[in-house]
Formats: sequence, structure tokens, C-alpha cells
Amino acid sequence: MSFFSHISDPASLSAIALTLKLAVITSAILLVITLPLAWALANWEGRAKPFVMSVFALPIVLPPTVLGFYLLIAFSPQGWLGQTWQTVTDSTLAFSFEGLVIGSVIYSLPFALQPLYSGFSQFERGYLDAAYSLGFSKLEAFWRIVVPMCKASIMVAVGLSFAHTIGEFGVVLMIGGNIPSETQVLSIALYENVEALDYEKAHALSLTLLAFCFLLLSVLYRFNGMPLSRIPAPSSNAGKLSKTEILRKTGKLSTTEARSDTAQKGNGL
Amino acid sequence: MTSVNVNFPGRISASFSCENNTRVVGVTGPSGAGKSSLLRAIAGSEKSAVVDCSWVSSSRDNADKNLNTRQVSKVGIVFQQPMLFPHVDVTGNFKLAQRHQGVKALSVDKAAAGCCCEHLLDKPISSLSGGEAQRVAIARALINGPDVLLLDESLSAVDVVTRRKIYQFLKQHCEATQTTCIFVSHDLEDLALFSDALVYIEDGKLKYSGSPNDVLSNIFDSGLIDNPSAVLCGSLRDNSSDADRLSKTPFAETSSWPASVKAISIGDQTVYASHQAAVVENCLDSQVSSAQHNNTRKVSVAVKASDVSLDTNVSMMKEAHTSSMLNALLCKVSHIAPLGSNKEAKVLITLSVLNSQEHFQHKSAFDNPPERHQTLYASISELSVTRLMLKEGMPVLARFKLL
Repeated sequence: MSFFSHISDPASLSAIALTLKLAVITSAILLVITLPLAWALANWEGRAKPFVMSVFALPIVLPPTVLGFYLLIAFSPQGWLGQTWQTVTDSTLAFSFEGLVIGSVIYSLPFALQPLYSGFSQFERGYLDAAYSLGFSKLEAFWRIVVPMCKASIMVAVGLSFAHTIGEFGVVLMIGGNIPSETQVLSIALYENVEALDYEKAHALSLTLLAFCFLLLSVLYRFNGMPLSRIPAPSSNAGKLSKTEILRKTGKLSTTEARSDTAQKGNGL
Repeated sequence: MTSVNVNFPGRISASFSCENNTRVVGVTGPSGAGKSSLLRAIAGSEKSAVVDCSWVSSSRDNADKNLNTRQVSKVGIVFQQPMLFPHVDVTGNFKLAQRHQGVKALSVDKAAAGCCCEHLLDKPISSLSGGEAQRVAIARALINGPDVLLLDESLSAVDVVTRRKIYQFLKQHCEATQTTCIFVSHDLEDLALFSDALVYIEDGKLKYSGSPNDVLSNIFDSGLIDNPSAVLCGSLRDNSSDADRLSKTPFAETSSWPASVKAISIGDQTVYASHQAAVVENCLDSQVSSAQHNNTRKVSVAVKASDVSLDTNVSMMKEAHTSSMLNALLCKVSHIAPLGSNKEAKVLITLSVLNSQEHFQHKSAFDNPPERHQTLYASISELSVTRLMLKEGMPVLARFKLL
């Protein structure tokens, strides 16, 4: 069988569709959660901040199986979450698509939170003072000033949570199992093909995932202000100087400020 | 009456009040004195500051119930860093400012014209120079239309000619709309020319406050300023009515009396200033024809102490055309004091401008109430003081150029 027939067979197609659906829903939910969360964290200076930040960063370092194990226990009809879910929706949470979404949201949360947090912490507070002095409310200043100015960080956050959800395996295996068109995402389908020694099909799926993830990351880096070549800069800013460059030229910017601006450009990635 | 009372623990403790007709308040002081903190506190940007301000408009707007009955004043602040929103262009910034317009808001056209940024409307923020961005920031504040406008060195990167144009426009706007403007500046000439009241802050405390001339003379007396400048006020003389007198001068032979040069009457003496140096009070009353108005239009010029030279040969007064210095004002030395750190052996001479008639009719200048005389400063070397044997009370000719 050819490469394309492996990809286009119904089982693969449903796995691809399910994976994309899960990634889209997860990153949408994450955006809604992490925008206010990251803004609150960036503006919060409490003693407990390191601990709270650690909790949100845990999914980065924890083996996915650890997370999956505890989620499985919570999702089981005996667990508090699973029980509540069952009384509300009359269906089980474990081994369901909804369970998968919850697991993915928790697992990918740091990948959406970190770029937003670093973008928001580097946001010049003077813009807010200016906005407030023009009569903006806090919420309005956030939507009209902060969000558009931190567009790059937001795109990175969405892109990373999307990509990370696609690459998810351990958590899905623990809480979702392997139910075709319900919880069988691409990485699980691939694993099953390897188990069944169908290397040709596994190869097709792997290559598709590899190419897709590469493309996604390239687009992300591109939007995050990384030019394709150094000279001439082919970005949308071609022909006009950035604010930093102008300030540096006029000697109005100290080197530390320049560095922080450069750091801001490369945030998250 | 406008009163401001700010207590910002550890930073500022200052209170001052101004007359009803005070529209533009200047704030100055050494770097780090807390001028910016004061403005930020008034604007409400400093959470820990206790601020109690009352902005009461003058009796003139009693008729305007809308302005008088509003309890909370809209306070707008423009920082030294313009803080223009970079995700939209100049027009986009103006549009954002229009979202919460006050009743005193200016139209985009008027504000852009007044702040000399009409040509910048379509430009992205990143392409603006420092001075351009500052002008746009002020225009943005005016489009928003605050009742109280705070300017924290907001024109520091703008060249002096444009800066004065904008200050003049701001002053006109403040008088027309009963807006109170508090501006921080290090430029004592700007402060003297445009403020109705002046506040001097040092170490977070109010040191001097009052009329610009009083505060400035206090500052100069303290010897902290290297190059004081004085502001002379006079009335603008109509160029055409001068033709007569000018015909007797060699200047008239060139047959061109440049329109850009203003003749200003100070007492019975005349000084000449370039168009840029002279700040002509705006004639707001359009009912009065400009020709009529010209005779009574008030003009201010700032004269730096370092630009003034002294001549003890007062008899030269009548045939004053042996020097390229156009301006020769008859003055009396009222005070001699060492200037600054005195390392450079410089002396600050405080002069009071006399009426030449008084002098030549041998009337004593001391007979007149002192406030009739305007003050001028000259910084000269100790050597000159000795050579000219300058003493307090001596009549001198102060020569300076205002071009």
C-alpha cells in the first residue's frame, strides 16, 4: 500500500480528525483560562508566588503517566470528579473524549501559560498608565491595549498548546484508552500500529506528524519575530525601524533596556 | 480656587493653591526632587499617595452649569516617555483617545494642528522621532479632553521654536476651555513665559510657590541656576505705525523691515525681537479687529543673563546705533551677587528697567513703586564689575539680542 492510502484509510482519518478536534478545543479552552490567569500572575507579587508558579509548571517536568494516573483515579466513577460528572451528564468521564479534553487542558496548561506570563511581565506598565489617564477601565485597557500589544505571545501560547496537545501520548493512554473515533488519537493509533508490527502504516503516520509539527513550529517562530535571514530583514517590518532601534540610535535607550526588549521578542521559545 | 494637596509617604509632601484665573501652573526643581511623583500622584497613578485636589473653575464659567456641577474632574497625564500605543498608528491612537472624550475634548484636526503633528497622522508609531512622538502624545491627551492636564516634561525632546508654539497653543486652549494645566519643565524660560503660577520643589517638599517672577527671582537668588533668564513684558507695536520713526534710522534705508521682527514697547523704550523669540499673547476675542488689537497685544520675551552686556555710558542712549546689538534698555543696577559656585568668577547683576524719560528728566527712579520696573539679569565677570565700578543704584544700558 502506498503512503497516501495509509493516511487516507478510515481509521487513520478518524484518528487525524480526532487529534485536530482535541487540539483545537484544548487550545481554545486554554486561551480562555490562561489569558486572565497569566495577567493575574504577572501582576501578583505575593510570597506564595514561587509555589503557585511551580504548581502550574509541574506538567512540564512530571512524567505524563504520573499525571494520567492521578487523573484516572479522579475520573473514575468512584473519584470525586468522575462522580460529579456522572450525576451531571449521566456518562462516565474516564475513557471519554470529554475526559481527554480535561486531561489535555491540564497537561498543556504550562505551555500556554509560560509565553503569556513572560509576555505580560515584560509589558511596559506605562502604557497602562497612559490608557487609564485616557479614561480606560482596567478590562478595556486589557482588551484594547495589552492583548493587541502582546499578540506575539498569545500566538505562541496558542501554537504551543496546540502542538503539545497533538504530541500528547502518556496522559491519553492512561485516561483515554484506545477507543477508535472516541479516544484514539494519532499518537495512540501509531503506537497500536507498531504493536501490530504494521511498520509501513506507522511510518506514514509518523512522517505526517513530523511534517505537521515542523510546519507548525516554523510558523510560530516566524510570527514570533524571527526573520528568515538576517539581511535584509524580510519581516513585515522591512523598511521601518523598530522602536528599540530608533531609541538605540538616538541614544535614548540603555543597553539593559535594549536587552529586555530583545528578550521580549524572543519570549516563550 | 484650585488647590492641590499631596502626601506621598517618603516621596512628596506638598500643597499649594492658585488664584481662580490661574490656568497654567509650572512645576520645576532639581532632578529627583519629586516633580514626576507629584504629577503621578495627582493623576492617581500612585496608589499609596494621599491626594486631595480641588479644581474649581473661575467665575466666568458659572454660566456653564455643565462644567461647574461636575464633581470629579477628568485628569489626563502625558509623560516624558510618550507611551503611544504601538499596535496602531497615530490616527489609531487618536481614535482610542476619543473613546472616553471629556466635554473639553478637541477635534483631531484642531489638536493635530495645535501640536504640529498634522503630517504624522498616517505614520506608524515606530517611525516617529522622540519629539514627534511627544507632540502626538500631547495631541492625544487634548483629543481626550481632560479637565486637568498634567505634562511631565512632555515637550523635552521638541525644538525650542515648535515647543513654544505648542505651549502657546496649550495656554490658549486652557484659557478658552477653563482647563487647568500643570507642567513640569527644567526650562526656566518656558516656565516664565507660559505659566501663570510657578511651584518650585526640592527634596519632595514645596520650596517656593507664587507668581512666576517671584518664584524665579527666589530661585535665582539662591544661586543654584547657572544662567538665569528674565522675562520682559511689553506691548506689541504695529509695524506700520513705526514707519515714521524707522525712517530716521539707518535700518529703514534698506527699505525692508522684516515682518518677522517684532517691535515691543517696554515702558517708553523699545526692544526688537525675532518672530520666534517673542511670545505674543493670543487674541481670543475675534470681535476685535486685529489692527485694533495689535496695539494692546501683550508680548513676552525671555532674555538669558549670559546674553546681556552692560554699558555704563548711558548718554549713548540717544544715538544707539554704534552697536550691532539692536536692543539697549536703560536700567538701574538693583543688586550685585556672586553667581553659582563662583568658580568662574561670575557675578549676577539684577537690573530694573527704567523709563528713559524718568532718567533724562532727572527724576529719581526710587520715587516710583518698585513693581513698575521689570527685572532683567546680566551675568558678567567679576573683572568687568571692578573695571566698570558697578554699584547698586547705577544707571546702565543693558544690551542684548533677541534674534
